[in-house]
Amino acid sequence: MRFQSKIKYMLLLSFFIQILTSCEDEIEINVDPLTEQVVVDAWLNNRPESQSIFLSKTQSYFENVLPEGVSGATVQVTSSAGIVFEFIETDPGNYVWTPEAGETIGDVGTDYTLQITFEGKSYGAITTLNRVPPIDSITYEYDDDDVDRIRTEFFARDLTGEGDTYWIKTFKNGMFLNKPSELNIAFDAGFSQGAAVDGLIFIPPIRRATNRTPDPDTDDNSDVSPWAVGDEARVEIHSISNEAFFFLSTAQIQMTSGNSGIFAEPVINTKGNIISEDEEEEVLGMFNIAAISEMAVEIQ
Amino acid sequence: MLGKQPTRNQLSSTLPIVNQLRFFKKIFCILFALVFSQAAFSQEKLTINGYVKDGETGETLIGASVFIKELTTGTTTNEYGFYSISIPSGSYTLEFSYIGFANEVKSVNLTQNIKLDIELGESVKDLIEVVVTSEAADHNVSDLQMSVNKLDISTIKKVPSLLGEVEIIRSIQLLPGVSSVGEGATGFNVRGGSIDQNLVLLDEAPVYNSSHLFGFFSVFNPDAVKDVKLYKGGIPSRFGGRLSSILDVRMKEGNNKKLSLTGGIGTIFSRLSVEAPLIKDKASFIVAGRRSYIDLLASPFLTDDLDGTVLNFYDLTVKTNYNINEKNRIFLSGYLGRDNFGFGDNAGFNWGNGTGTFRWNHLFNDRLFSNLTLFYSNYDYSISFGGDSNRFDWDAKIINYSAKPEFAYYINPKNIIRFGGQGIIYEFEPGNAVGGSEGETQDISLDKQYAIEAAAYLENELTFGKFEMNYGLRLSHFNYTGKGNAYEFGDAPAGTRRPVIGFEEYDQWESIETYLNLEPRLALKYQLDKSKSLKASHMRTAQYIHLVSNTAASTPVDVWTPSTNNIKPQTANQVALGYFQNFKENSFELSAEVYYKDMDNLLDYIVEPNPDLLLNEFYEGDVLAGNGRAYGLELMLEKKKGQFTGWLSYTLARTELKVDGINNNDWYPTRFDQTHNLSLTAFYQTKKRWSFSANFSFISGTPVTFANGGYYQQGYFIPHNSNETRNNARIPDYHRMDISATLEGKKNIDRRWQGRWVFSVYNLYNRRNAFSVYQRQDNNRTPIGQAVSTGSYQLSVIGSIVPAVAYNFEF
Repeated sequence: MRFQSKIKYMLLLSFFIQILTSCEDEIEINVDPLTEQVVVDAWLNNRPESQSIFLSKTQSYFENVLPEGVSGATVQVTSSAGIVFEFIETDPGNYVWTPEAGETIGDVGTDYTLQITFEGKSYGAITTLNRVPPIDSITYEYDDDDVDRIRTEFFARDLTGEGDTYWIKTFKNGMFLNKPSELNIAFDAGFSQGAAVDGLIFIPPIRRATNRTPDPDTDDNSDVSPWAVGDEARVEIHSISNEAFFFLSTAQIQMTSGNSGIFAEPVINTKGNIISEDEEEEVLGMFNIAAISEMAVEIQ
Repeated sequence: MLGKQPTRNQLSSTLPIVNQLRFFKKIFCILFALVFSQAAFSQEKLTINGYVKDGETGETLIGASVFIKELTTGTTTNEYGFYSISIPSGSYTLEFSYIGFANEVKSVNLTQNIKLDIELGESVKDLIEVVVTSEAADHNVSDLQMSVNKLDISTIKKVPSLLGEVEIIRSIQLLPGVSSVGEGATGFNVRGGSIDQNLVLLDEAPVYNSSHLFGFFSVFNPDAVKDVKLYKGGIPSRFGGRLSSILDVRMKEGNNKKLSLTGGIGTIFSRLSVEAPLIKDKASFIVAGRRSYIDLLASPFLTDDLDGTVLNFYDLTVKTNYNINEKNRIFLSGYLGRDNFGFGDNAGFNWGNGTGTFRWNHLFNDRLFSNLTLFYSNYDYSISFGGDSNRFDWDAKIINYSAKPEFAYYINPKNIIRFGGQGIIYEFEPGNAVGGSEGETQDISLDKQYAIEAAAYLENELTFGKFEMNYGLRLSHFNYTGKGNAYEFGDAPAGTRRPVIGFEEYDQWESIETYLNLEPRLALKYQLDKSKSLKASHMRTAQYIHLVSNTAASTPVDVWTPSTNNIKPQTANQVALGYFQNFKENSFELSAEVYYKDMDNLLDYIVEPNPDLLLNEFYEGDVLAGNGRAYGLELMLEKKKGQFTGWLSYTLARTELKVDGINNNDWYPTRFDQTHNLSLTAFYQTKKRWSFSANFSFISGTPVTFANGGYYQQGYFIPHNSNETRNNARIPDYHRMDISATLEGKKNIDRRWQGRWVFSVYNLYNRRNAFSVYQRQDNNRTPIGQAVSTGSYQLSVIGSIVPAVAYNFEF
């Protein structure tokens, strides 16, 4: 699906917007009242560092505020090796497990169960810590046509065997490139399960998604090179479950579909893997534990 | 087997294929017998037949009226300009008429069969004084067919249009019952049907994508078009294969009297067409071409990063015909069109249709007219990007070959039998793709798919007293065949992806799944008096190929799929009732129709995860089947005569879907549901060289889906709709007015060059109509740890007044 949406962005929309006299106006709309739901934000990794899980509730689409944490829950993760990791609330809604020196949550291949109890209800999820390939290199080059522009690209080879899913994160001078349009996920070496490309070096659009999307209205616009001499470019590959891949894939389409104009796909909800003991209750969010490979270069 | 009256379900599911074929043959034999027994009753009558043509160009006239005064009965010419009337011997006065032409009256002493070809002269140039007899002009009331709109190409040319380009698809959207997702979207929706439910025929060959530039312009070159007819309901059994409508576009044959040139210079296209006789009165041709030049105009304005951009579209239409003798005439026509987009050296995107049609009109005898059509049609697109070692090439196509014999037996003016059949071979290439990464390539192409569609039909048009009826039956059969894999899918919760649990390999043309449908059709008319009639119709239709599209407006990369072992044919039943009345010597035509349509096995798509429909060999697991219902009221008042002409059209309608797993399993409106759709189109012809036209449209906002909430994951704000509703809000109402003025060149009989200026203003009062309304996040970066800024916006595709000038000429 991301394949479709990428193609559509690249090929159709740029023209529509440039050539026709289209225009966009901000308006106010009325939406149906919201029914509040519990949200679990549990994306962990097996680095020897603090791991945190955030509990909150859904909010109005137009509120434009950070979510309030849900306090007073008990949160724990149990590995298939029988080890229990207790997550302690440090700030409202923020539950943290701090490892001993050198300790990690576990190794590739381990299964984990998340258990949360609060307001008298129990919630849970299961996941597996999946494998991740190493990054071979990060290259950078001056744009062919434009000497002022520096673009980066990372090289890594998808592990052989269908069904590996990854989230590739890029950090510019330590700052995560966090726009929805920059969200870079892979199914094997390609975009989607349907068009699976297994065991290859990641396909070029994935390798090159390490360059930021320019802002339309700030100084970081399209006149500015994505990278400058002296910048540190760091790329991380996080192994994610297939469920997490589909979650992020749908989330990306939903976060960016407004930009698709007349080719927008219907709004659908992103389904996570958290379940409630109350079958009627739908809980949102994702529980995933990633193995991470990384590499950083300084642009010279 | 017939005596047992098998139900449709039994037919389509339990009979093995051999029995189906036997059944098919038997029905056909019975139908044949019926035709010839009917024929035997009417031997003592004599026949007058022939062609009605335009005297100036030799073009045959479709739907011209032939009226016998003494019997107060008559007929009309068919799609090839042919008529046949069988009546007792005697002396008769025949009157031939066609709108825009002077009537021709012939006295005939009928003692033996007569062949009478008529050439009508154009009426005196002063359009105001066109006198058309009531018999010829009352077709609104007297025609048996309801739910049919015919647009003369001369009328279409007068409708004010975007950038002055004469537009067939956009013109039919001014008719009742026709809607669209939004301005500039591909295709059109008829009585609640999706865009793939329209069979768009160009000289009998289907056109799979009728749009240039995503829908702003249609693929039909107006200079090559003779006649446009839209069937919205009560579709006669000779047409089939789509659920909702038939758009029958007929091309000109080419002037067989003299060389003529037609052309125009507009804002978007330049057009040129040449028509000339090959052998005078016997053979002629037309070649018509258009090419856009937006790219040339836009290039100075493109920003640097769009430099090297290619954007153009063109189409070429050719046709030739040869009148071998009185009994045989052949036609050869072809269409080729393409849209090209290129981005520098490394990326390109193009799509287009190609069709070819061979037709042979043959008169077996004075009363039995036949036509054999052989056609080829193709739609394909291709996309490529990347350099030498990192290339991605992707293409997809649908190809079909068809043979279609048709017969019309004119027993007498009150009894016509039509029968025939059609065979279509489909070849689908849903996606050929090769991706390269650092010199290694991987072929991720999908298997081709094959299918054979066959149909046979019989219909009988009968008049008895004040009743007239056309009843018919169409039998259609679809065979989804190898070579390829047939996948079996397991169960999954409603609305979610179904997993593949097995597959079976099939050889070339080995049957994977077959479907059979009986499609009864009925049209009834009761003539209340000379100027009023009541009409009713029923049709059952089946559709075996589907456009897989999950976006608001269809895109050129959407793929057609056959019905498979997992995707069932779409079927529909539609009933319609209508009242028709003409006023003031047929100056005004009024029609009022109500319809109800019930549809099964409509395609929708999973909601978890997001559907994966392109380059996915398991796409069938992402397709859902749903039910649809559409109902509405359509009113049309048309003024046909005088200096001031035009029409007012109003539709009140509702179209809904019900799909397990979507919208909490409740009915929801389709994306193109329009409650009110009103349009007023007016033309004014001055006595001098100027003529003016205007149109106004008001359309209720179409539905969209809004999120009411959202939540954070890893700093991303993900929209969420807590009620899980689909199409839960509406975009603002749409209204627009356009005007145009045409200045004819000075009339000079000695000069062949006739020029015409067209000045038009689209969106006269500069309204920013919303194409869509959506929610989105700020496109600027949100600093880590801060709240994401969200808002709702409306997009206007054409957000300003668009004036244009075009120059057209004839030589």
